[in-house]
Amino acid sequence: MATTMTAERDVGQGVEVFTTCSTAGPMFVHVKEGRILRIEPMQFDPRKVKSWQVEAQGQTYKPPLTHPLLPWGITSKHMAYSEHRVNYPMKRVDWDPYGQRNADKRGQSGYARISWDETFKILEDEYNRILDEHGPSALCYTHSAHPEWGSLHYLFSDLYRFRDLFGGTYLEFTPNSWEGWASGGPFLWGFWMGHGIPPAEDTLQDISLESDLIILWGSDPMFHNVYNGIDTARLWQWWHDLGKEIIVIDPLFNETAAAVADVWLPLYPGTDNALAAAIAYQWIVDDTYDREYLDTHTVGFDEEHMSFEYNEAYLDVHPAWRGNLPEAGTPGMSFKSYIMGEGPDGIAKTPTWAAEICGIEARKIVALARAWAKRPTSLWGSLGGQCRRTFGHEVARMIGTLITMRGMGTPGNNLIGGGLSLSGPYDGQRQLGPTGYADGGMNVVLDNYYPNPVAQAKITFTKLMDCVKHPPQKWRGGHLDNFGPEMFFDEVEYPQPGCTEIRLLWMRGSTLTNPPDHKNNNIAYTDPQIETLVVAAPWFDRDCRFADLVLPITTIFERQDITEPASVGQYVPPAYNSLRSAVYNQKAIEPVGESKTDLEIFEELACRLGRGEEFMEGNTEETILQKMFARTNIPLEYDAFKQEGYYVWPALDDYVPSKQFQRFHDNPVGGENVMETPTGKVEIYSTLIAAFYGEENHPEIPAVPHYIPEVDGRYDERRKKYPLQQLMAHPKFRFHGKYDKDPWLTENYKVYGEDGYAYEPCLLNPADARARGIADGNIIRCFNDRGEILAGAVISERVMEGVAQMTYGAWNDPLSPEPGALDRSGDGNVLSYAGPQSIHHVGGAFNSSLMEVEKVDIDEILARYPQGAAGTWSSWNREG
Amino acid sequence: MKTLLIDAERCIQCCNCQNACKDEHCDNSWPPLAAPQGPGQFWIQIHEAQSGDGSRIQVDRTPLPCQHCADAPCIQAGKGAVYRRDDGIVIIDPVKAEGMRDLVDACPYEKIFWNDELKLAQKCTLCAHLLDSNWQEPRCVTACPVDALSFVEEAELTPENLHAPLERLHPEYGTAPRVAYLNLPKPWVAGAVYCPDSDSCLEGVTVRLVSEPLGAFYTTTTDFLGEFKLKDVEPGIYRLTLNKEGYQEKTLRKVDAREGINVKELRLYEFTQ
Repeated sequence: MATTMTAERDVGQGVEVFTTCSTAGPMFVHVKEGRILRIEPMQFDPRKVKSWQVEAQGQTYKPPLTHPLLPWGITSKHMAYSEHRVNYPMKRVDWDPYGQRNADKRGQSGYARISWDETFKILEDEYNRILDEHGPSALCYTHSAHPEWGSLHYLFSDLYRFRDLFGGTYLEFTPNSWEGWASGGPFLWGFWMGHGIPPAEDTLQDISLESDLIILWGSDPMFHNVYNGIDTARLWQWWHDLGKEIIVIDPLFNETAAAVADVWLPLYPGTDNALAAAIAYQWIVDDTYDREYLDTHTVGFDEEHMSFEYNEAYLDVHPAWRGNLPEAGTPGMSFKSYIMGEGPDGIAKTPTWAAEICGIEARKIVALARAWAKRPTSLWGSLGGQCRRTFGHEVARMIGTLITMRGMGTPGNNLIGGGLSLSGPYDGQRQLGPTGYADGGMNVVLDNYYPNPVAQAKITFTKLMDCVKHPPQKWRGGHLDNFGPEMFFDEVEYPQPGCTEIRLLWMRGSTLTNPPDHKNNNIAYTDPQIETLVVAAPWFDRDCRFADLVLPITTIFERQDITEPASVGQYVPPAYNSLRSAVYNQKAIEPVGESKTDLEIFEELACRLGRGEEFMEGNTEETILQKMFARTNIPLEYDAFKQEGYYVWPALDDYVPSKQFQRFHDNPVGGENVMETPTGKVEIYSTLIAAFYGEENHPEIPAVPHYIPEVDGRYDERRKKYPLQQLMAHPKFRFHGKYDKDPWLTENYKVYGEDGYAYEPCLLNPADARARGIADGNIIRCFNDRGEILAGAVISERVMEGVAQMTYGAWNDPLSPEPGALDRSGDGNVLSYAGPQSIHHVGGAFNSSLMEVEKVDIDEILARYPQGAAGTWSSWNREG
Repeated sequence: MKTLLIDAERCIQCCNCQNACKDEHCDNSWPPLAAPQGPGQFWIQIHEAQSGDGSRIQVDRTPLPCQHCADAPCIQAGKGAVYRRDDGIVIIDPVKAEGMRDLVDACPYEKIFWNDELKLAQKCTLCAHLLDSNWQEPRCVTACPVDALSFVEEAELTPENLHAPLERLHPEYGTAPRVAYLNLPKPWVAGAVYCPDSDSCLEGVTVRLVSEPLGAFYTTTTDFLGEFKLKDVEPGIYRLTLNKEGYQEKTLRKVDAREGINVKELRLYEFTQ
């Protein structure tokens, strides 16, 4: 029980207060008679906090003592006791692991309760059979992209250890949050470990003190919703009050815009690089870019900097490239030549040219470029929808080039990507890692680490259907971790030589960021090639509906862990804008129903398969946490930390800031400051891309960044049929697909039809709605060649004409059982594009999606699908 | 006596106040002050309004709880079942008020809700059960991530303590509402100025908005994009004048600022000699 901040107030007789931390932030959990009574945001005791602060213009900013929670934090009592909890193990009624499996009935049949003992017996038999018959590569594992928070109870911890102990194939995600930065950024300037995003170091102080202009380009930092955002709300208010001018470039008048923007410039989705190219053009004709910096820190900006000297240290690490990189770029192929129309396309990228494409008036592009050139400017430009589309890598490289033209590393000039690259003072020490969320969890502290013995390590999530239905397959890119250019250039084969096709799919958590073109996964899931489909999840949703076995998992309230709250500190350690703290996730309540932790399930299965000792090495949940804690520098005994519930690292007295890019700015050739590129410089002309894809500007990935009209975009032929560009900004009241059915959240945003159903909102501009005879609150059908969904029309000027916001994450509720059926829930990923970004990367391009909408007679539709209208095939129906 | 102070401009509609209220009061009973809150009730709720069009719009959010009025019509309608505590909090007695559906209509702010299961009219208690247990503030205040809500002594609601003028919501209802507001939504006028001769945005244009009948006058200058926005304008019909040295003055008449309005892209021509 937490002892802080509760002593002075009476929480009531028999009430105990526990600490924990979810994806929404850290919290106090009040428990009475074994049930959660209330959930509060965590309030640090001021007597135990020595806070950092920033002073600017005589004003002080201090991070709050009461840590803000994202919307699903306050409502999480509701989710712990949700009717959608999986309370006990369940088996699909017509799946017989010893006989008929009826894979084609997945998504249709109901479920029956079974005992844990029967569950483990089935799993044991299945593992033994598959390992005997096919070997470990037939075992495939995946997980939801953002499950419940934890260090021990986390996918990198328990799932990876179990998978690697026996060996298995990994159905992997890509870095969806900043897809184009991962596939493009490293070719510009390295930062491979950060997926192409430059580090966050000391950006918070630098923006506060030095930045005059803030540009939010496809960025909604206040409600970005990746463990953070809302904790920057006071910071945004402060910056606004300090008089920083905030310009929002976005197809949507987003939440941060609504709160603090001075000006909104609506930009047609997917045309970002046209705007960026025109800004570069204006700087070149005005001669207002940092020419000297470009001369010394970059290659390929202009024709005078197209001969390349390579960094020996880089070539030592990547010997395959020695002698295989160009000595010089092809004449006429520099960035400046491209911008000025002196390259192969002959088009000058003038503001007038860009205005036609992106929808922002030429004079405003000129004015924006001139203001940006004059004033210290922080650009929120990494992450966002502009990089999650076809040719997303070009966006990263182009915006990175703009930033470089401003002499990155100079005061007040920054490149930010939501909470990932916003950081207050941080010394590299004050964190839970390396046992943290991103670092392998239990694998770091146990004696033995087991590398996955299976060569066939990976299937990219968007390739699942192809692999299941049409093997063999080959593709490039599409990895979650990319430590070097080989990860993009080397071809992946499925099945790999010596490996087999997958037979068992184990999902740790239901897929929260469900894949684009949703029917693809349904097609894969209903194929008999997948003999066993296991989903382990706290709530019965989405993929559970296709599972053969559903395993009940505890929520964070029902187990112990140690975590770092909110922001993304535990994922990207220097990215932190709150009080740097660690939380003990105290076990507040007993597991709901018969739920277990993933760790317990993996341990039991490992024991039954004779490898329990190797899996746990004699440890318990508690002893692993003790070992994790022992690696931190928290000056408390484990028991004291557990009792106290949290620890706040004190502000450093002797802190010396070293902001983003400053060391590279000051000394671009010195040792560790060099960029992780072959030349050690910022490669505006990428020597790797030129070497691999050809020096004659590959149409999908040229040597210098280009504006390339996207697939399923403004200039695609399909726009004649589907004239609206689908916008899939993160949902405000949902964590991807999590908490879709919590009425305390849905009553704030869903559109309740006359039939009483909570329809997902589709934001339409009044002009688009008028043209189609749609009124606010009407039920509409959104459709394209990939699928169709129902939604509730919300008519608003907040979305620009020609664009419809139709986001993802609603729990699917198809009106008929076949893949691609009309989905009443309004899951935007039924419509979204599942193709690759380009030849370079199969990862997410799902924001490149066109659609059309029409008003429907909902009564007529529901009459046509009586079974569907009754919810027969809904994600959350376990009755069948 | 303490009351809620609400800065509407700060609200970001995260709905944490609404949900903290539900977390505290749904499924929990706090006799003798409150019975469990029924489903679909909003003892505090964020009301949203949008104004403007095109690229110049404003989204206003106003948190609306029970006003704990000093002259509360629900007390009168309650005939003894609704009372005011010494600390000013208005409470519907969950036992005495059973069956009194009329209470719902007594509130002009529509902040009393009918619980059909309990046959009870219900509303905000300002978490009086917690305040009585030495808690510092109601749950909605603690949950707010932007300090849009605070819990303050009424005596401290003086101009030197406030960063904006003190307002009340619908004082015309005549119930002497005790909840204090700052920055309630008001009309605005926004647009942009450019020079068609050079097709350039005009920075530093003096913008004046005048209404002689109202005696209202507002002024600002355009930014680097030629954009301007006059906020917190008294509702009315105005004359808008644009001035910049070297350019011909321009006047727009009958600018209807009874609500927020986008006057769009305005042209200012150079003087020609």
